[in-house]
Amino acid sequence: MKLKKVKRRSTFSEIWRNYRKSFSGMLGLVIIVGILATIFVGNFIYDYDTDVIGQNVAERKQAPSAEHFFGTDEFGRDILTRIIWGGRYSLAIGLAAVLMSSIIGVIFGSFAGYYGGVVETIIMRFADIFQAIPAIMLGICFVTAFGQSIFMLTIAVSIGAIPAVTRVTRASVMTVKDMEYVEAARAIGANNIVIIFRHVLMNAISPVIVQATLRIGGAIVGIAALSFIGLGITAPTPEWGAMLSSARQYLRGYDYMALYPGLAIMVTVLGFNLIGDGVRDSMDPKLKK
Amino acid sequence: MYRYFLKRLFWLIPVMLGVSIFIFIIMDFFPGDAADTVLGEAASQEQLEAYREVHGLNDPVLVRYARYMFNLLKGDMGISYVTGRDVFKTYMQRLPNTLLLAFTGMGLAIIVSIPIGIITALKRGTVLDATLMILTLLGLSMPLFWLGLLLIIGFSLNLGWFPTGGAGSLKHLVLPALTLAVAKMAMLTRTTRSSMLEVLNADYIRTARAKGVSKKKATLKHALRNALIPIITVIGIELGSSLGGSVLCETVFSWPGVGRLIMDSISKRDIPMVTGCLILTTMIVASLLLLVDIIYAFVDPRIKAQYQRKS
Amino acid sequence: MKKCVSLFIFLLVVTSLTFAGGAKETKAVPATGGYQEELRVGINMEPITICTPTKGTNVMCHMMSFSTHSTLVTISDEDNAEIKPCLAESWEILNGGKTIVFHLRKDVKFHNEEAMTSEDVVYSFTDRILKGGTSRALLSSVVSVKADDEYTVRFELSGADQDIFYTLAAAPSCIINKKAVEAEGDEGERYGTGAFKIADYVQGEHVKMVRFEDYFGEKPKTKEIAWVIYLEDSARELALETGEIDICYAPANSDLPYIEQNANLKLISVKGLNVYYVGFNTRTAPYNDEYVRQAIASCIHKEDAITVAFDGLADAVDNVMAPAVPLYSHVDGYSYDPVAAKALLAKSAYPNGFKAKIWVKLTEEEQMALVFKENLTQIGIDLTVERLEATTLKASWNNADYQMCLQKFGNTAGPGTSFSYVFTSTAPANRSKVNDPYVDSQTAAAAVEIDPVKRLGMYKDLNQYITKKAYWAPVCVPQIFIGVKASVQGAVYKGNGSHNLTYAYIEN
Repeated sequence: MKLKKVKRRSTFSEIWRNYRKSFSGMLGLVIIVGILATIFVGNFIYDYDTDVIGQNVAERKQAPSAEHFFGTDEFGRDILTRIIWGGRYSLAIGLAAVLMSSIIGVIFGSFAGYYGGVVETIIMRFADIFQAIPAIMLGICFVTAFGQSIFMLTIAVSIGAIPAVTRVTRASVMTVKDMEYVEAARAIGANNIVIIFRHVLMNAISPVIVQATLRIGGAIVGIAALSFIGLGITAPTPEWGAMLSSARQYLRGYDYMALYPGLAIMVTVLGFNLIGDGVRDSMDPKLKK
Repeated sequence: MYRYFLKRLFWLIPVMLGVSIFIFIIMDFFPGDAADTVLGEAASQEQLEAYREVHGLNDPVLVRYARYMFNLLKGDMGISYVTGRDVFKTYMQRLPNTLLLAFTGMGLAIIVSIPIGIITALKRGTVLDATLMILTLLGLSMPLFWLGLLLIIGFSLNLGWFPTGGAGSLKHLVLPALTLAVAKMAMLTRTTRSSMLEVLNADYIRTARAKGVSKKKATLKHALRNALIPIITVIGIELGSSLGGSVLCETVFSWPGVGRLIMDSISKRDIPMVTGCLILTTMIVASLLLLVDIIYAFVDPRIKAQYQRKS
Repeated sequence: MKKCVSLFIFLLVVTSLTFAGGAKETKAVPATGGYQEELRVGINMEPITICTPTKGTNVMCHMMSFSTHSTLVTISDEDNAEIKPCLAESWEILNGGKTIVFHLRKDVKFHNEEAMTSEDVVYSFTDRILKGGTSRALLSSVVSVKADDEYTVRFELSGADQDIFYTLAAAPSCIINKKAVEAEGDEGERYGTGAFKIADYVQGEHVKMVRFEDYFGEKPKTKEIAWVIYLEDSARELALETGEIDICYAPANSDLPYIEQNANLKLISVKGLNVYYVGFNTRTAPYNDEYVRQAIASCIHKEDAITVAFDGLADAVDNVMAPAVPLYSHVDGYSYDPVAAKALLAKSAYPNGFKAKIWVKLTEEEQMALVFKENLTQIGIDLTVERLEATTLKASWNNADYQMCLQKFGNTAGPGTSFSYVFTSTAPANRSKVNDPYVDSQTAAAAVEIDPVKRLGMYKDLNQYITKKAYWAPVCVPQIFIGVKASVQGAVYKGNGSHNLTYAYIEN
């Protein structure tokens, strides 16, 4: 057991060492840390009621200027302020959704892969059913049925990814479960659940982690997409996708309203994609093991 | 091997069953029903109840589901609660639009990405490679609906070259197909590149070069042929996802496709339409994926062997 | 392998081009003779009930039904809103208003070549309209509809109803062919008696109408009307600019300057009939308290709301009756006065304010509600704006958590409807759940009052009473705009948005 612990510590620092070598990974990290810092600082600079949703009808629909870097919207609210404030929802829901889908997917996938037989069949058929329905339709159905609370939105965004995570985990677990150290553990008499979590998962988890980091961007776009069609975060709370949706009315003549929220989404997703690339590059040698 | 694919085909049926059950159950949770949609603002409680009685909306979920499945087995997908028109016919009317958009987008992506992917693989490490990699990364990170809006602003409103939405002519197709294509181009270029790289470094290529085959011939004849396999898989998957996930593109461009049909039907609580459309869509997508797997199996001898082992 | 790929790509391109090749015409059909043959109208919603007009629920269907179906009587286009004959060439009012006998025209044909008789009229009412049609709610006074002979129909009412003619002139009160409906079911309603017949309906794309050569009235100059569906406001307006359509229904307010500046186009504005109002669930606290409602009515800044939601293109109102409704007289309501609002709230049981929730459905309603949210913080009310989907909203009026709403109401019928549709205890769209015996009795009395002067007074009285009690906090009446090619003539534009385009034409 002691040996194992030592091995794990060096695993993490090994990964970090590899990560630092990846240019895209570091660039992504810089971008995301920058975004997080901006949101964090913005939380203290801005007051929700006056700055974020406070209206100033006289100043509405003003093009970007020195006073309002990104212009104002139809209510006279400063767009830059709203973008900075709105970032928290996209990031929080995006990250939570990926965490949720990863955890649920890993649990189901490992049971399916480890036990096989009837358990596997049932789990995989359910995965098929949920994968057959297009992810966005699933999200729409969930939100329409259960409302648009933050919790429900997180579920709606995560649900499309669960089958895929289940599949990957199962494949990974299946590869690992026949390996020697698992047999060794069984020989010692370790309990099944313990075997799954301690031995199988620890080694099978790498592809899941890599895919998860790559999925964050998709989740952020997912919540933006739901808000874009009106089934996400509700007004007047700023959310990047919702801001794009209201900008559609003003595309002609006020295109800046559509430009900046979308740019925010793109830069954030880019950051996470770069991080994902970096994670993949740094964990690749481990995979090939 | 055929047994394996037959098994896959067979499993499609319970999956469709599961899909239909899921839709019925979750739509039961939706507030409001078709009576609220179809009858106007002024409908009295008795009118609403009368409508519900006539259409059997008050029956418990199981009864309604059984009724639906019974009709389905007869080949009848029912009629829309909202328009009264045959569900299957309505879907078939809109399907070509979505297919047109999906295939055109995919076609554009293929024509552009595969050559570029090959080039970047061959010229790995150069400035060209780096630039193209950055561009593809940007393309992957751009939300589709934002890109659509940008294209509308640039090419439709400012330049006036294309209409802002709707369908009906080649001009209407350009912007939506382009929007769809960009994300696929990014994904496809990267896939092509990584696949080519993997293959180019493989032993059999070095053997061919050693035997005296020219670099060009080695690339195009041997490498590409083998690199194409994962590319085809990705094409299939992306095509499947654009058939199902075309909602956003169709919303931005008011494109009369199947995605919008499903979304509108959901908001109108048109259960037969939603169920029918989703079943048909998933059937098409699932068949497409199965086709991809079959092609994949035939083309790659390694996979062929794997499947033969499986059955 | 490479060959397979290129073949595949080739097939893709060929398939795409084949599909695209079968594209439909978007330019107007070139005209022959004196007038443009096809008139193209861009509409903004799916006209799902176009083939079942008695169940028509949206303005689009009403507008289109004017061209394909006819009613017993019509309302004149002039300001006096006089009742004119249509399918009925004359009528008599007997029994103190309780009996109306209509004498039908003998020369009317349906689009399926069947001649119209009293049988069709009776069937239209007893089996279609009164059974579940849109007009049913406003025809509650009708006891029976019977045929006296082949061209005479007798209506028996429970009491004299002055507004019934307005209702009979409304699009969902049209006459349909008994034989067709009995043979084909609901869709048999599409055979009307109007100047155009429905040729084609492609869902999501268009409805095509063709001139009916056996029409009993004056034949339109245009041969075909294509109603093209553009759900996107800006797409529709752009189509007008590029000449793809000749008439653009309801262009977005932000696009109006482009129509005005364009020399080939004309921007037409009509005084609207839709009143946007704040409704209260008067059955629950605190909205059952008059002072609370009056305070809220005095603390909403209508002009700001209008600026945001309508770009300033609406008229603020403080009555519950829209100015363009017949027999309207102005009364004073509540204007924006936060100081007075605070004083009013102080008289209630909630002097320091409370948490409130308002339901909205459409974008402009949401925008106005958000403006009010800011305004109401001045008197301590913390308002949450909830935007509900149309279907969800319709199903939620009886929920316990319904507090306030911001909705619109357009009265396109007689003056009585301004009250009987929304304020009486039997009103179908009573969003404020008003249950006031005075309102009920006064509305009923005005409905049977024959003396027009007295009637005017009674409606003024009702208007004043309801406005003072603040059962609604009225907000504004938006102007109705329509963009047309400068060469379009002959169309009649109405305040409720249901314009009559039957006689619109373009000269070559």
